[in-house]
Amino acid sequence: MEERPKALLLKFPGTNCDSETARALEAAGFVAEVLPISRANETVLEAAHLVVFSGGFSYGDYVMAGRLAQLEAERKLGDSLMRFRDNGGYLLGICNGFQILTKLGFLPRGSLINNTSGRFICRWAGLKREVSGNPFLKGLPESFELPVAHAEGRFIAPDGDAQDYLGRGLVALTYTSDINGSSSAIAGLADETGRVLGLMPHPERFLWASNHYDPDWRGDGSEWGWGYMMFKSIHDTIAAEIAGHSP
Amino acid sequence: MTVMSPDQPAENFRRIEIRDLEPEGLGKLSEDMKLSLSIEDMIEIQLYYASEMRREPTDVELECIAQTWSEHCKHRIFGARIEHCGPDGEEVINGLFKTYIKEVTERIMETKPGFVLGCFVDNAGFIKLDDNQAVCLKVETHNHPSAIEPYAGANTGLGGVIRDILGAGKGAKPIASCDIFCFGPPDIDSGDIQADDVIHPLGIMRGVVRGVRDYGNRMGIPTISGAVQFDPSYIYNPLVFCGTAGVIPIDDIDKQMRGGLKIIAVGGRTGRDGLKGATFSSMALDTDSHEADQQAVQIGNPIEEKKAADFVLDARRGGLVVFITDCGAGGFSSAAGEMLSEVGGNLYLDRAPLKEPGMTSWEIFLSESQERMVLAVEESALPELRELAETYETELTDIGESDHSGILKVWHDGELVCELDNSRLHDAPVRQMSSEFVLESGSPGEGLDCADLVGELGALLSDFAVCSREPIIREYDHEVQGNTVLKPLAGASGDAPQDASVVRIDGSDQLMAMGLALLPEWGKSDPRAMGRATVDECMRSLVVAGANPDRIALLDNFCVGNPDNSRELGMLVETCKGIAEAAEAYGAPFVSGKDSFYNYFETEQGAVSIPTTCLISGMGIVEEQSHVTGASIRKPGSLLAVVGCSGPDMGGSVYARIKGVFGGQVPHLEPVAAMNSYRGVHQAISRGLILAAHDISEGGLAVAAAEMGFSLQAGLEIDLDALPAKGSPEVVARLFGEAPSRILIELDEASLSQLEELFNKTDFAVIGSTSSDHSRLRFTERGESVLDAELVALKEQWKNGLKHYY
Amino acid sequence: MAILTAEVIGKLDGKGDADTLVYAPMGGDCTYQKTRVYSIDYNGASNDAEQFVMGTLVDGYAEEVSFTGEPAIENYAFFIDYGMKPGALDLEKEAIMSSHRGARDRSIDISSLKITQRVYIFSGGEVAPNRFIRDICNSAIHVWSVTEANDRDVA
Repeated sequence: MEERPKALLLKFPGTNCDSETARALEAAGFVAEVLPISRANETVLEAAHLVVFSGGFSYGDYVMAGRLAQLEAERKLGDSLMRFRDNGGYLLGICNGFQILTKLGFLPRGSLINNTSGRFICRWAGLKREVSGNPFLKGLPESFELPVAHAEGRFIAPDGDAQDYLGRGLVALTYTSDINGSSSAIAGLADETGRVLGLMPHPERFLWASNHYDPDWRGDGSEWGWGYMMFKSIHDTIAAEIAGHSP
Repeated sequence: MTVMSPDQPAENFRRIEIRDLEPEGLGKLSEDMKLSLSIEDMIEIQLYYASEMRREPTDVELECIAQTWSEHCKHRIFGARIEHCGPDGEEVINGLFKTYIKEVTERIMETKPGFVLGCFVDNAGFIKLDDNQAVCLKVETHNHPSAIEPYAGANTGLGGVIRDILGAGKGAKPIASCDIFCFGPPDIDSGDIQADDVIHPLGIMRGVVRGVRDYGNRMGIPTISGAVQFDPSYIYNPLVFCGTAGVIPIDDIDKQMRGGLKIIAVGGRTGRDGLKGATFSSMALDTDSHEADQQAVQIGNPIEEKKAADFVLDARRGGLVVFITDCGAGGFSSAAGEMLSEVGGNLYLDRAPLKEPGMTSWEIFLSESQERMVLAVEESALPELRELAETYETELTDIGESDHSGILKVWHDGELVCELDNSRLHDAPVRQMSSEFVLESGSPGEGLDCADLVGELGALLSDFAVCSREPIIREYDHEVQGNTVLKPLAGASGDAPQDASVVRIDGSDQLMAMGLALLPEWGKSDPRAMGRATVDECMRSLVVAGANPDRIALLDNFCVGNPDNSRELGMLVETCKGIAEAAEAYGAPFVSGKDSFYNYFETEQGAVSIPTTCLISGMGIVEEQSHVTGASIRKPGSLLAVVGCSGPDMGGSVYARIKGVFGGQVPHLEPVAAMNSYRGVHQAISRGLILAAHDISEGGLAVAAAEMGFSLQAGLEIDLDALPAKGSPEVVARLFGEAPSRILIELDEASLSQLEELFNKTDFAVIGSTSSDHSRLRFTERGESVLDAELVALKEQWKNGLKHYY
Repeated sequence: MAILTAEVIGKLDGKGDADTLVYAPMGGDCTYQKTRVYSIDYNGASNDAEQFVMGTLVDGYAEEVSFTGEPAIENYAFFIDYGMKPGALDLEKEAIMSSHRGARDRSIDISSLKITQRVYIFSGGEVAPNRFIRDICNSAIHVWSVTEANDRDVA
């Protein structure tokens, strides 16, 4: 029997999208485990192929989104997360997870700050895939939609401008319209290796076609939504690697 | 020499001498201790201590009894014997709750065995979802705290009702929330507010919305439905209703206390914050409330609650919970009362983790600090529970145990500070009240003529009663948990209004719809009609979204001004009669409810009461994903049909209000015919005959048609002559009248003959079609166009109504 | 024991229309800017205290910090400092302190932390603080003070 890829989802106090994200991972073929950070240590990543930071409000996001989770992750995991990435592991951060991965320094430098409106925003957003071949995105069309829900989704680079990241292929996803003031309309970033992806939109909320707001949305004609395709893409990538490594 | 810390009280408790007091002395004692107990209540307590206990009470006991007997906890007005004089003549009502809610539900339950799985006893009412799971719903008000500190008041209001669900059964999982607000108009001039320290309605609205947002979003519970009413009578007493639905395995609904269990507290710590909340909410507001009672306003900590929720749900899944309840009004005293009132047991106050040192016994016992749950568990389960608490980083404390004594004993530092025979404690004296109501006959539709119908439609769409709630809805995460299939804003454009919201439920093929209605404007002239129509609108909103009309359960939440005013009480009585009549006709049981009184304010110009306000919210079972039906036009070339009759009466309508015409006759409702229509609509939905369905409510047919068109998929052409009607209504009444029980439907022409078979001919008619050749909304009468408007322009007006204010 | 005062300013926050702070627009030309002021009582080296502020309380890309104790922004008509009153829950403070206590190797020990929201009001003409205080602060949960341009505490 073939080995199913393992996804480990790290849950902080206030993380709240863990159930549906684990559900989406399982639907795509992963064995998904949700691990509260209180039980994490430097060895917990060893069996995983994919480490996921899901959406929510870690520690309430009271100081700034993701900061206290970053400090706690550094305390609990030490440099095992970096070793995990360097050894070929994949990292996915969704919404608050994107904010945490950015604070942890796994993604191009910058910060996710308050939306220009100063408000939380829950809506669907048109997205453009800016890269080809990214293992998380290769099963997706160039344009698609996902729901967003965040107060701090405006990406800014150190000099304020993230144009440079576009040129370097680090911008994985952009919004098709300005929804939060994000520099270069950035919705998702990848690292140089492509094995780390952070995005503000919520793929786990568009698992099924029936999640779409428009009853006439048909997508690719299947029962699945675009979010499923994202989890499926990374699953298939990892499954192929596992199969390739098997004797 | 020992130096006593200033925080350290000289003693934990004291004895209060009451046995020899005269009635005035008892009244003064109640006032001095802020017990909010009447002299009759105090005499009852005096008798208990003089003849049964043969000793003086402790302050802990008096506070505990006051709390248990408070209006907030005991609903003594809904239990009162009322001599009522109304349109039905003189009568004696032995309890509004028993007569118009409980007995109605019991009769309905007999006809639907196995549907209601729990009502009135636990934290929430349960109905069957499928063979394995049940859904439950609870709605609470948090009016007075929200008036004083809107953000914190609404925040803890939602936090509290979420804990109700966590404490329902052995711990239900919260899956969706709703919020309903009644505010003063946000554009009112500050100079028109006739009291100091009253927060401007705009400040109330912004604070309340953010309070709900910051709690609901952080808890990861989607806020999927809601309503906002604006009326000047709510300036001084804004109303804030928060509701949460949950799901639970059927086997985990029933919980029984027994002796020999450990009592544990989980979650937040206990502090002096939130003392006296329950008695405070049973009093009227005045300017002093804004200064003196600020202790009553707490700030919620949603992450604390999230950790406790994660713990509770895992503990329940692990079979580790025997009994659970939340620490709401009354704090440990009501939680312990609920758990230990029959079996008896010991509670040790010195074990409770405190936020601050030096709290006296009654303060610890009565504190309503947020984010606390109390569980009864087997001692053998404690190690596993402690590990779970460490995993989720929440505090767990063993605070006592149950026994078989039948007596609640509360200890503090080795002293017995409270010993109550709870079978006696809950017997508050029945209140005797009187009420009256005179129905004044209104006139239909006078003074409502109009030349510029397009302008009137625009005015309706941008009116606060109708305009888009988008600025508020977008601040709520209504998609978290990934199960919201019918969203509050949907349709092809993603921003058109829907009638009810629907969520998938993990582990089931069946879904839950959540809907609600309130019509305070109707109640000003005819509260009984308001009661009936409110039930009708709630039912209708659920049916059009896809719920089976025979599988709907309702909740009743009342907010009333001064119940000691016989006319205000009379309006409440009439409202209760209305909801009872309708619910019985629809076979929709009430499974939970709550009431809030004393929503009046002493201004410089006298007392201002809110109008009698009745919120009916409901949960309905949607049996298949394919039954989920939106309220937005899907395509050109469809037919438009109406179910239900229009009429001439304009009383209570938004249109009459914006024209400044009050006191008109409100429309008549025929619930039996309506229920037949709803069953027809549901059959049609089940057979796939309906593309979209929208209930016709505020603003009437014209507003409903415009709203359906806001998906911008097609234009709408409607022939007003084809509209099923009784009493030959004028064109204004056809367009803007709010006769209940009506639904506007989009269907394929091929479905028409099948659809017609499902309805009585007088109740159903094709009235128009959708078209691709223009994007207009057009109404004709005798072949002439009477209203012809651009949908994009109407939508703009509708979308911008609230934008400037929120 | 030492005290460090850190005023954190959003680099990208320009001045906003002060009408959005109040419930009934005043129609004037007032603008505002918000900052946060942390007042930290600690044991340890001052360098380490500043490092703590940078590493925990400040977003290095979006914010800058002033440790001078003087108002970080100039030319204001007045500013309002408000914070949670004693007994009212300060969620940010609780979160920071809880994270600080959970750290294994703390370089400093914080004995108390006070968080103040500062709202600078700028105006060409005369403007009274009361309008703003009424709509920004609530005595049910807040304490506040007002400092005018001449550094006089007026409320």
